[in-house]
Amino acid sequence: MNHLAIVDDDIVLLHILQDIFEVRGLQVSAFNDPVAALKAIKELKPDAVLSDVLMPNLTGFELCRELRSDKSFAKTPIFLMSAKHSIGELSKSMMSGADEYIIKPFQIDEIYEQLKQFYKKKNNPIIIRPLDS
Amino acid sequence: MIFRQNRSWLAWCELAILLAVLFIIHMVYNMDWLNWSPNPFIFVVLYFSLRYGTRIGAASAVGASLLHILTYLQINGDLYGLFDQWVQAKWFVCYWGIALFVGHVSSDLRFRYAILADEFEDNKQQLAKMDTSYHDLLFVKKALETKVVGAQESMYTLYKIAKALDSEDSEIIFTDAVRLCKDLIQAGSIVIYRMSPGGDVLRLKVYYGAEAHYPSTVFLDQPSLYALVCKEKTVQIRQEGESAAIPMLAGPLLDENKQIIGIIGLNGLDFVALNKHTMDLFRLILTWMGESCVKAFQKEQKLNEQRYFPNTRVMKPDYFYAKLNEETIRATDFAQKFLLLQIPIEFSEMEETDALIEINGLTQQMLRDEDAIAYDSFRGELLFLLPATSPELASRIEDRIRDRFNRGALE
Repeated sequence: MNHLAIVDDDIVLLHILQDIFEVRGLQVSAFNDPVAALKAIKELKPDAVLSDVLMPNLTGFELCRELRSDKSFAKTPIFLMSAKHSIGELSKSMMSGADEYIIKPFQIDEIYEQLKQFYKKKNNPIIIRPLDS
Repeated sequence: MIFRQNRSWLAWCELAILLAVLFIIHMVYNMDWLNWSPNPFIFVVLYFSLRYGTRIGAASAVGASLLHILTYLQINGDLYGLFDQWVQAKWFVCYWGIALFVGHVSSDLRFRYAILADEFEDNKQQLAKMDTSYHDLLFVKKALETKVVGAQESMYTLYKIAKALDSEDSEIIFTDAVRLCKDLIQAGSIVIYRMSPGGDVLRLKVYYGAEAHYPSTVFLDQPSLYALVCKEKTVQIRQEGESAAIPMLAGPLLDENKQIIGIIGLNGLDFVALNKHTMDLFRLILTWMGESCVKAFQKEQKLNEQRYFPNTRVMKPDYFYAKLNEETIRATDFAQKFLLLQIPIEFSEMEETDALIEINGLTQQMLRDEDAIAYDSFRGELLFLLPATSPELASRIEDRIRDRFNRGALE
């Protein structure tokens, strides 16, 4: 996993996350406008996406659903992050196609490890073959 | 309160002493009382008449008269001039007049006062009785209020139970049953087991509280409180010497044929608050929940065609997410852990329907009755939901599942 896209309307947090992940050797594309981010991410095709949930014009759930609808993002880990910790958010994020719903504040190293694990897992699917084959 | 001297001998002694003192003074100092103005005997008579009434007043008038005569006799040598002159005779009129008039007024007042005092005593006793009656009434009022409030609470409790357990989703019923036991019976720890289809094993469904050591599977062929509940089909209490992981109180959930569909166990009970009412409440929850579960299972049975992909136990995503939501609520409210696994899957040269049947065949032996598996084509993943399972086991369980699929594909 080399390329990470981060989407967050909070510019300060966005740049902090960008710097931290760049220090860990990742190429980071940072976006503070989710609508512009959707278009750019589809073109850039990063290895993983980390997006905030509550953003103007396009929520993290909508962004995730749009990306997951694109077959080329089937194996891309998409993590949603939010400070909102309410019942129903997990299943809502699952329904939007997200792989993980992270509650802020979080440990960057843990997220980085999880992103790597999900990237590995996503690219190592179970393959079902006919029993007689 | 007016002073009342009821000991009459004291009055007589007082009068005798005073007259004796006057007599001694007269004898020792040869005092001429008769030239004093006003005459000191007047005050003696006035004092005793006022203080003790007519009788002692008359006695003091007799004493004053005698002292007056004695004094006159000593000064004048004879008594001849005593009643001839009005100057001397007026004093006797005064003594007796004061004694009779003032004594009568005093006696009359004392008599009236005695009547009023008696009335006062009567009123005091009546007041004391009224006070006792008032306190009795207050006690009765409080008891009645408690009864009324208790009845209202009972109605509200019944309403809460009815509302909570009136659901067509068994998952919601189980969650609400835990909440009811927690709120109404105030159990510190609650566990609900479901009976396996074979009827020989109990599977952990929901738990809440500090006792996190409830076994995920209970084998009923071994003697335990659970086995006793299954045998007797009534509420049972933990026997002395049994493990702390066994609930103090356990009761059966019965279906319409009196067959056990589950067991609710309670621990961390407050034995001060535990009474017959609490036990009745627990039995009510068990009965009500049993009936609700039967209805919910029947409803779910009918919905199974919609819930699962054809000929499989693989859930459709919407139903899976509803179940996930319920587990999230339990995790938030009761700190019950659950494990969610997402495993990407690809159907190589297979139709979705056939692939899902094969997945069903491979996974059914691995999963418990309470576990759920779903396929979400949008995500391209198999989803596994394992209630009451620690997330720390994720990688081990995923490896086992992958291994099972790899072996299955090779076989």
